[in-house]
This record gives sequence, structure tokens and C-alpha cells, in this order.
Amino acid sequence: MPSMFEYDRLTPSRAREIAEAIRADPEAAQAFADKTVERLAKIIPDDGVVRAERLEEAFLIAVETRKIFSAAKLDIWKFFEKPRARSLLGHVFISAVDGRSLREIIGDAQRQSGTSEFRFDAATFKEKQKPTSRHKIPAA
Amino acid sequence: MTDFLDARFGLCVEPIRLNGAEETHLPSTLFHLSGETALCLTRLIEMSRVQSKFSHFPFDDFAILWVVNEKGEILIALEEAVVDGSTKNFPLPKNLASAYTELGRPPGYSKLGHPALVGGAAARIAGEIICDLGQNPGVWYINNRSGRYGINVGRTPKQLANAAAEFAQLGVHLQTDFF
Repeated sequence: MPSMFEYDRLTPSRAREIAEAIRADPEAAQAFADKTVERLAKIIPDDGVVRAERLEEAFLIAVETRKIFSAAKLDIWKFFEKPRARSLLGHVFISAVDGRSLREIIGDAQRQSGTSEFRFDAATFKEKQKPTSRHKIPAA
Repeated sequence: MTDFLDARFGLCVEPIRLNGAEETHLPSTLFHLSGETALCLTRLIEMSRVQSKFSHFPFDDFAILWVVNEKGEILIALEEAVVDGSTKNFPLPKNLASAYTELGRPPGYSKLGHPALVGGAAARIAGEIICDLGQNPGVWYINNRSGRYGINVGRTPKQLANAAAEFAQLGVHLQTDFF
């Protein structure tokens, strides 16, 4: 697997490098997708309580991944088995790629926590008051 | 004025979450962008282009955060952390920041992300200023990589370009990289 697939924060040159590599080679695209899932699984494991900041980190990785697949002009869902929507990892990844905000993702996670397959530690963080109408977030 | 700023830098949004430190601790490196402070950035950029430099420190080791506040002012700081139970801030190396999220327990310090630059308040577009060392010489970019203010909240490439234009007016020339 190319070492270029391992990065902390995506730079434009690294994004271009990866996009070129995966555009030319479906196997490389699959290897990159697998590496990304591996990274995400470390941040949001299947079991245990997950802290909100981890959701934010996973959210940013999902958005970076979307950017790379978009630059490569590849359909991201051809390389990621669409994760189970009821898992926390699946919820964050699908939602972020689909353009939902972190606010919506965390809000949904809080509502589903305990009723779904994951537990989410909302109590770790103080949530700010809901936005006023002037601060309303446009629909994704 | 508000409509102008909303169009230029996007609507103000409240951060979805704050760790306690982000509301109570300002980063020690925080400054407003102005003619005088812009020199700090231009000098940093010049230093990054010296071929014989000793290392990539500090261009590639620390994240530089920026945010546009409700009044349309641009605030900038290194990404810092504060030791839990103390008032001591320190610049947080990028490598440590990523390791921080992988820890299964609190690491003993709290990261001061974008909300810390505005005291936990609502803000407009935000992101990072980065030196892309994958190009030679390194190219400096401004992006909207902020989970709480910058991505999937109705931000546009034009708003990011408008922020870059504010820097450019003061002699800080940055390419844009929109997420």
C-alpha cells in the first residue's frame, strides 16, 4: 500500500497525489478506502463510549476522503461498503460525505444514543444553547 | 452591515460543542489580523522559503487556526492546549493532536480549537493556514478545515476567497483550498 495514503492533515499536494493514484488504479482506490476505514475504526471503535471530539475528528477525515474521491472523479460509494447506518461510524461517515453538518451529526447521535447500536457520551461536553434564527445553519 | 458580513464570510453559527477550556482560555498566541500583525505571517512565510533552513519547524509542526468573528474581524492563533486544572497553555504539535483523539482516556490536557479564538461564541467561516511542503518551495494555503465553523454549514469557495483577500490586502498571499 502506498505510504502516501498515510497522512495526518490533508495538504493540497497530498490530495492531488492520492487522487491521481486512485484515478488510475481501482485497486489503489480500494486500498485507500480500506486504509481510511481502518483509521476511522481506531477513532470510533465498535464498542465503548465515544467522546464528541472523536466524532469531529472522524467527520474531518470523512470530508477529506470525499474531497479526494471527488478530485479523482470517482464514486466514493463504489469503494466503501456503505457502512451500517445504525453504527456510529457509519452514521458519521455517511452523514459527513452527504454534506450534513457536525451539529446535525452530533444531534442525531445524541438522539440515537442508547436506542441504537452505539453509546455516545454527550455528557462529556457542555452543549451550547440552540442557535437563534439569525444563526440558523442552512440546510445541508 | 450584518447582511454584508453574512454574504462575505457566511452566517454566524454557534459551535455544536465546547470543551470547558475553550470557553475560559484564550490561546496565548491569539491576535487580530491587522497591518502590524500581518507582518508576523509574512515573515513566517519568508522564513519557510529559506532553502538552507535547519528544519521544517515550525511551519509543519503546528496548526495555525483562523476564524472570522461576528464583527467580521479575523483572529489567528496556533492550535494550543491547556493542562487540565491549570492555566498553562502550550502550542499543541500536530502529531500530538492526532494522537489525542486516538487515546481511550482524557490525555490530561484540553485542546483549544477554533471556538477558543472567539471565547466560545458564534463565528463565521474558519479554518487553517498551512504550508504545503509537498511542493518546493512550500506553498501557503488558507482552508476552511474547521469541524465547527467551516464545513457543511453553508460555506462557499467565494467566502473562503473573500477571507484570503483580507489577508492579501495586508501582504499575506495565500492560495485557497476549499473542503
